Amino acid sequence: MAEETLKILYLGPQGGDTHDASSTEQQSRAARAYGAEFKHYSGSSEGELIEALKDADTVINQGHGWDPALFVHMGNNGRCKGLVSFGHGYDGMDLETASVNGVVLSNTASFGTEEVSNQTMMHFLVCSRKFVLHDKLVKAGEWTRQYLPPMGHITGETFGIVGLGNIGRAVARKAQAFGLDVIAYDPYRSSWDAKEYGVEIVSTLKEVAERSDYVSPHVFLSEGTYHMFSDEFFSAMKPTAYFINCSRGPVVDEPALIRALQNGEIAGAGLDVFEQEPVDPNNPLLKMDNVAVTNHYASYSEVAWERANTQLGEEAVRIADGYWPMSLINPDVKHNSPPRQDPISWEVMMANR
Amino acid sequence: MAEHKVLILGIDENDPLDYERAEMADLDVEFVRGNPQSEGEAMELVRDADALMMRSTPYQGEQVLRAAEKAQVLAVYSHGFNQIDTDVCNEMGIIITNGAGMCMEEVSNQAVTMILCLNRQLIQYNERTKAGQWGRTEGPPIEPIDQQVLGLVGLGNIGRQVARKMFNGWRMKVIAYDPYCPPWIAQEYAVEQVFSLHELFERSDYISVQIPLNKETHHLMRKEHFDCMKPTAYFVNVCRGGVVREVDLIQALREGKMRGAGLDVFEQEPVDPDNPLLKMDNVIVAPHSAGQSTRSAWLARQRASQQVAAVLRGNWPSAGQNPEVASSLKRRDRMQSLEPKLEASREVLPMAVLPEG
Repeated sequence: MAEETLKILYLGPQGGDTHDASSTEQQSRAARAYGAEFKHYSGSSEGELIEALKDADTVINQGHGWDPALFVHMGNNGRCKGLVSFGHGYDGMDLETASVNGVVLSNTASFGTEEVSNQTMMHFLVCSRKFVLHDKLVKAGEWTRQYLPPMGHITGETFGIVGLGNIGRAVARKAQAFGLDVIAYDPYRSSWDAKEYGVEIVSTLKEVAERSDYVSPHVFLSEGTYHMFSDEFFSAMKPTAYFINCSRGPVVDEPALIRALQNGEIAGAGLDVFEQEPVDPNNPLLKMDNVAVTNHYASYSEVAWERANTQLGEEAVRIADGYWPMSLINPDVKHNSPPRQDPISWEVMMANR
Repeated sequence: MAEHKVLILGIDENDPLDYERAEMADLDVEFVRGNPQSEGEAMELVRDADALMMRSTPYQGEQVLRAAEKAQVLAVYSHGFNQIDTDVCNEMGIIITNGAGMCMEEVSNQAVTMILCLNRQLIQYNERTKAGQWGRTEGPPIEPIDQQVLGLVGLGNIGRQVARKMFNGWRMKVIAYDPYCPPWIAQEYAVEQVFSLHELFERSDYISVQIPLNKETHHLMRKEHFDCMKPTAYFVNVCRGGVVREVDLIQALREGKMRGAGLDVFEQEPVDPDNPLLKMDNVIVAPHSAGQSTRSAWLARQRASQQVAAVLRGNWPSAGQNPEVASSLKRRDRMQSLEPKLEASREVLPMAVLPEG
């Protein structure tokens, strides 16, 4: 009997043009190369989606809504074994329901590591050099050096990273190139790992606040990281220190950050993310000369998005063909899932085929 | 009776177990030192142990593992755990942990040492100079290492250290074959991933191997690979002898398929004094000493103890090596989550609180 063709179901942005194959050239690349079928989902009701899942081995979600109740029709209870989602964060995902039902979850880990770490370094330099204020002053015809102090030397200052994952490590490497001493708080990271990156691990979040001249979180948003940066944290920071955030807005208690900036407890901030997005035009953070802001695009570059799109397809094929994905985000699924092969490089999968 | 029995096999009767005690200070643990003289004796010892710590014992075969009905974790002190039957452990619901990280600096330094010694012909010149021969032009040419290619087989903890040192320090071009390594990790270390072992052997001027020995890697490197090496290239092995088919390596060296080799490990250890590798001028050797240092000696014990402590507290250990055990754990209702726990932060506490060995 011939082996049944592997099927990948693609959910695009709702309301968007998901029927045009040329728009998913990158997402479908792996499936096409592997001889799997790549299907665009075109339904609009939950019932239609449940039916579509019965005829797919893996589902890709790129900006489509996702109801965790769908997991009940997948994994050990259906043909579709896994869900691959676009992006780094998986704060919207119900890992437990997926794991209980034996559904394998993956994301596009590390696709924007370079971009996010570059955005972080940019915000850090803009803060340190008081660039936003001076750009504004010069354009307004004011040529003055009176607002420069206090201004740090960068080399020899301390950069505090919270979360030493892929992005945190890239930031550490780049910060070291500026001669910064890098410290990090990451309870999931062992001291020998950190030593490999030349980073000093500290055992409390408070120590990061107290010692750093720049603080930058690189954590994902979860119950454990929600409002991790609060009044207590900001009041422990140096008044000359800056807070950078290119991770997720809600890891910061934003009113607390605003208070800290208004009270001069910290010197300024560089923010790519906000608690509410799109940001409220009346948000006081937008009115401050010592705050640089961008509109949550830290991970963007064409190369990064192509990589994420390609990775979506590769992970989907891995799951469909009985491998674990390279970026498994719910390891507890191993309790409830039949054995799979360890994930291997896409190029080697192709060669083995 | 203590809540947990931790059995340490192959350890001095008078060892104070400082590291083991320090890491499990918050747990109700009874430590038992065992030095079984037979498999049967080992089976009796393991029968009611909650944790097995394998210091140094020949009795760790299938029968012994199967007798360990209560064991939740088996900790080896080394990186390699090729002596342990993982299939049996998976079936028994025993989590295997190793000493990940305990000697990655040491082993990577040994690889770098070997690479540099081969490049600089140091061992050969040392011998000749001490023998009164003052000849700088004898022997093969010394190539500019910054223009050469280092090929790594395995880009795990140790391979990444070798990559970092030779790229940052010597500006070598580094390529690696490791089908399990995510592309973003290779990118982070400025390593070009290649996807066939043959390509790695063809392109490299130095090949350094740092992979675990298991069913998949046994004799992974053999004649067909040595045949595609540059005749000017060197081969370095600091992991396990069994990953190389040694007779093929000997033949390749004899036939000039490569310029030389640096070997810390052999298929049979201690190495047979008549092993032809020991007679070759272009081969430099060490007695499986890559992992050694005053630090790795105590770090191995600390790591192994941390791993056991994590499991006894009900957490997946940071150096757990057999995630396939998960379904047995579930069946035996042993561990709720395979996600790392905050308790792992025990490892980030200052090492100063622990006794220096």
